[in-house]
Amino acid sequence: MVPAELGFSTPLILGALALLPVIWLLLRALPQAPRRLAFPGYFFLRQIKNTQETPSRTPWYILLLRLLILAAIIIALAGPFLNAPERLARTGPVLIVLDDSWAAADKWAQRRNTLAGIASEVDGTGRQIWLLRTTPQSTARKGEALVGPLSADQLADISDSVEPVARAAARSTILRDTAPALAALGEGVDIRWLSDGVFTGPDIDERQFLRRLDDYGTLTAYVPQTLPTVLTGITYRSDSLLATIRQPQAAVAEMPGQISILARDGRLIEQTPFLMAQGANEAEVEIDLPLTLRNEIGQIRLDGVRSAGAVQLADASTRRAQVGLAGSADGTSGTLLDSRFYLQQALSPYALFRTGTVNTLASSDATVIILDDIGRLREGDAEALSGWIEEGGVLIRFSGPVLADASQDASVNFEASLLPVPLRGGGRAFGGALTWEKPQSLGGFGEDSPFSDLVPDQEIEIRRQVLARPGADTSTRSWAWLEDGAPLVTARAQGKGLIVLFHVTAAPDWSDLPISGLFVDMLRRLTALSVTETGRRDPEQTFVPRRVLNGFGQLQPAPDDARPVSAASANGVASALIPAGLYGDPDMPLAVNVLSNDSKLQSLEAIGAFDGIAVRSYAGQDVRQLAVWFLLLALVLFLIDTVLMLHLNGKLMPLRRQGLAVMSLLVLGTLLALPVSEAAAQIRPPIDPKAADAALYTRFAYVVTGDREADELSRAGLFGLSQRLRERTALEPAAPVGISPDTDELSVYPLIYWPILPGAPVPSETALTRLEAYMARGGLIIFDTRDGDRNFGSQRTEEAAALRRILEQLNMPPLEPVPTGHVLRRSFYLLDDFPGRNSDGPVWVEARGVTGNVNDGVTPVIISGRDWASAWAIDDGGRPLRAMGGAGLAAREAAYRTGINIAMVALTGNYKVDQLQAEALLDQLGEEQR
Amino acid sequence: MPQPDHRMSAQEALHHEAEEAGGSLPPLLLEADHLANTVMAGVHGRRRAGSGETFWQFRPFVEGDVSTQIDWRQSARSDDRLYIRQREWEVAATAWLWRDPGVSLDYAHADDLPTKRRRADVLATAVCTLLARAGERIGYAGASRRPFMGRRAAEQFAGEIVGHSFSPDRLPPIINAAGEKKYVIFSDFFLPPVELEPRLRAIAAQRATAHLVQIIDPSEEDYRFEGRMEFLAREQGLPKLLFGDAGAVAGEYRKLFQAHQGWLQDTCRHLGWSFMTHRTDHAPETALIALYRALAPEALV
Repeated sequence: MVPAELGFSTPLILGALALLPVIWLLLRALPQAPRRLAFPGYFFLRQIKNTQETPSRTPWYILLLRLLILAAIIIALAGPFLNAPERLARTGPVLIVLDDSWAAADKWAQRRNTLAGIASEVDGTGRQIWLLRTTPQSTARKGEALVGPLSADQLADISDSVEPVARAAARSTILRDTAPALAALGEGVDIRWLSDGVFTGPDIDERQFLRRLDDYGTLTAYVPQTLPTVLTGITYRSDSLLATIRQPQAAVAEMPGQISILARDGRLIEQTPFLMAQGANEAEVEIDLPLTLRNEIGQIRLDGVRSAGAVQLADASTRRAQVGLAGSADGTSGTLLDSRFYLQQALSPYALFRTGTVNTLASSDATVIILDDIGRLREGDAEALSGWIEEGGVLIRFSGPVLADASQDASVNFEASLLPVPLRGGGRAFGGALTWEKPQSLGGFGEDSPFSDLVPDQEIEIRRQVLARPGADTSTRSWAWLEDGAPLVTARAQGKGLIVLFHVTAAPDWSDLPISGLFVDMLRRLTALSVTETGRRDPEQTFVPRRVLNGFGQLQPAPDDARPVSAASANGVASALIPAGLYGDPDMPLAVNVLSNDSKLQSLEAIGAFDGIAVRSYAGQDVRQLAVWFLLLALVLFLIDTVLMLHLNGKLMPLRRQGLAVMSLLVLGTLLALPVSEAAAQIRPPIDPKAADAALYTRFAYVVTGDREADELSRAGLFGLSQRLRERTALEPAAPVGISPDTDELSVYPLIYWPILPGAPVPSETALTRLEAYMARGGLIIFDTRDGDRNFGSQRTEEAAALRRILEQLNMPPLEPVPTGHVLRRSFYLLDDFPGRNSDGPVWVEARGVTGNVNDGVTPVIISGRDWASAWAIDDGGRPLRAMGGAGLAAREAAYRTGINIAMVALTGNYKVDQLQAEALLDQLGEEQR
Repeated sequence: MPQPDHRMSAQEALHHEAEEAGGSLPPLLLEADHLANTVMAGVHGRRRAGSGETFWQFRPFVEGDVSTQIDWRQSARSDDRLYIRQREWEVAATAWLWRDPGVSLDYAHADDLPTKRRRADVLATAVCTLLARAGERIGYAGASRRPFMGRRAAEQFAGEIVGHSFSPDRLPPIINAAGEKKYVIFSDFFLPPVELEPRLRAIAAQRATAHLVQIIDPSEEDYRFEGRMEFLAREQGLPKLLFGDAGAVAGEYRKLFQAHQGWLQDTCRHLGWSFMTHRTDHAPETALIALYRALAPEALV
């Protein structure tokens, strides 16, 4: 371990520290010298508690504190950093050989620091710097491998910007290519090889490289202390994925790790831990994933390793099956009789479909081809298909009348006609009128088949099937059979591929299988078989680069100069021509990875590459900038200084209190700032004081008509009613108020009394809207035309006409005269009638609706001509204002009772209604329970 | 008569500063003389019969005279008359003047102002001159010697007062001489009441009357200091007082100052003494007249 060294980026600033003593003197002199006076008044001054005394000299500790603050700031400005690079006493041009490969990416900061270190080392010496990057460049940029001569500043800039490449280093090749330029550097070159420590090619190349490099000058190699762990490949098995993790060095101790599986959209699908055994340099980890998730895999990466070598991009070939459906594209009728419908339904989440002739499908990159009841294949088609199967295709065939018919021709070799087993001509039907046998159900699945863990569903009936000719092959090739042992699914491997035959149709006409969940499972497993095989692509097909990996293993947009690659050329690991990344259709990409399972990964140390050369290790720790810490120290010291000063001045206590207050104010302010501003943003109309008052105390309101007498009578009437309510009920209304529906807030009044005068104008539009809203939300308006005694026959009074004009504009519920049993008759007193000053004419309330009422059955309006207000009206002394005619006291009492009932309805209406309907409600509840 | 030996020994005991101060004796005398002369203008001598011990005159006995006053021997010399022997009116008292010897008095705020000590010396000497001319006996309190009388009294007094320039003991001494005593005490009285009051009461206990003359510098009363000030005591060994803003305590200072003055006034009134304040920027004549009136009200009748 290299001891941590302290360095400064601009050491010159440290010279300012020399000023500290001067500042010391200055600070000492700073408090302005006081005027001195030997003063007899001292006798009195001595008795004065000195509040504004400052010490004549700053105490030494304050002074020290301030100097420390200053020193900390100066040091911070000088840019201190820990782990300063060592310096080598060398002369001559510097050649930096930088392994900017994926293997260096994980500890890239070390490279940068080392580069920066070299830059600072060379700075000021005037030595030339050359930088040779050892990853192969595309042909166009080959000249950029060697850059120089650089100044130290330029190198420092490069050290900030240089990035690793997602390729392996090709040191030997690069060195050969740049040999002329390197030779021109002359003798005594100071070579710094920032090695990545690994190689993937043949070791002879590396030895050559070292030998040549040694020729140019003195070689110093920077050797990484740890070599990166990599993910060399993912093997796709039918039931799981196998990730291979390798290390160039054998693990010194048991090393746990974790791999992450990411979806194409970057979502984390799964994390699986693995363990690298002691002494091993390879570990395999099995990843169990549901097939659906498997198809979504975009990349798999080794956690904690920041390198392209720890990333494996997933290919389209590793994902969704490309299912080719033989037949014409327009053949899909979409009906329930169409077998293709069932196939697509079963496979669509897991496969991509394409339709075409057998020939075109065989030459496409389809991994699965389904032949649905195709009996005879044309010779050319059969040949193409056969070749495709040899390459690893999965052919799934479904039976049908055509196939059954075709197989009657025994002369045709079953293998040539791409069938897994020889078939017996015709077919077999169960349960028909002429058959003895009952429809068969599923018997079982083959142990070695992909269906082995499926459970046969006994409810699936097989009514017809194509029979296989019995034989030894037939039984071994059976993957599923019926109860009587007749094969239902047979399969045969051909080359790398597979031929699978369903002995039933893909439509539910021969069996229930296509409409069962089992069908989906079976097809899915079959297509999964196909995707585990290596991709079959047209080697000629070209792919446009879409996203490329950078050295850190991050996908980035492809650069402009990236060129399309053919599938054949991309069939390996990344190179200068084919950068690692994703190519082609984003849905079906072609992936090029940095490493594959075939990649050799060895450590340079193992082949003795570093023997006999000066070896340095990269800085164990990053260069740590300490400026921030010094500034922080200065700040803390400053705070201490402030507190001390306050303490010295005796102002600490009050200031602390003030500070607390200020602080709490600040905090409060911050807390309140948002809500306050939000509240301020909503411009709320100020609450009408009248409405606020009315909301505090329950009170009745009357509509001010403009006629003084009528208004006074309304007020006195409601006052009288309020008095009676106070006396007799729990309701204690405050004094009534006059309102105008145009301007006043209505919702705060439970009851509004509205005397209609002859020729009363229709309220304004806003007033009508308010009134409607008032009624709709539980208010009660009493329209009183006060003309009950003047109603004769059908002749309409002026008041009634005025009311009609108003009501015509108002959205009113349907009305009816108060029916018997209405809540208005029961709410407090049991009333037969609702007399006011007169008892003529009907009292209208909202009709009991079939579909339920507006306000829970409480009438929002009472209309009559009973002149209730006059009957209720009393003056302040309690004396009635209006005579009640002959009936006298009894009539007035009846009027009060009416009023009390109305008030009760207005305030407790729906409760009272429920009371009335309690019986019906209970009946209803009982019914529900039953 | 002065006793040179005694004076020399007393002077030898004094601080060397006294020597220098001694040089200012003639100017002091001159100044005091001038001052006394201006005041003398309205004051006349007291050549009349009194209750003194010295023979003054014989006068014929008239009806109403007390018969015990008849001088029989003189009456016997004449034929038919009875004479009464009158003695000269004599104040059987000595005015003991004392000027605070503390360094506190050695202060003048401005160059054109005399120090408080100087003003006190001038005033004391002038008082001495006046009293001497009036035939009074004057003593310098603190010097254990007989009071001065006569024409050279002022001169002797001045020598005495200058000789007692500095002393850390700032309390007026108690004179143990017999007879009625009148004190005239010149000081700024910037002394803690706890020290000063017992001494004043002790003096009062001798049934002596005293006249306290507080000599102050205008700056002491007005206190017009501002800004950063460091105040030192006139005396040695006291800590410095540093004020960030001296002006800030002006109000408090004046309050303390006035309170102290008020306490002095109250104390004097209590003891039946007189108290007066004299600022060095005011004319000394006023102070002298006031003092003279206070000292000898009966002489001015």
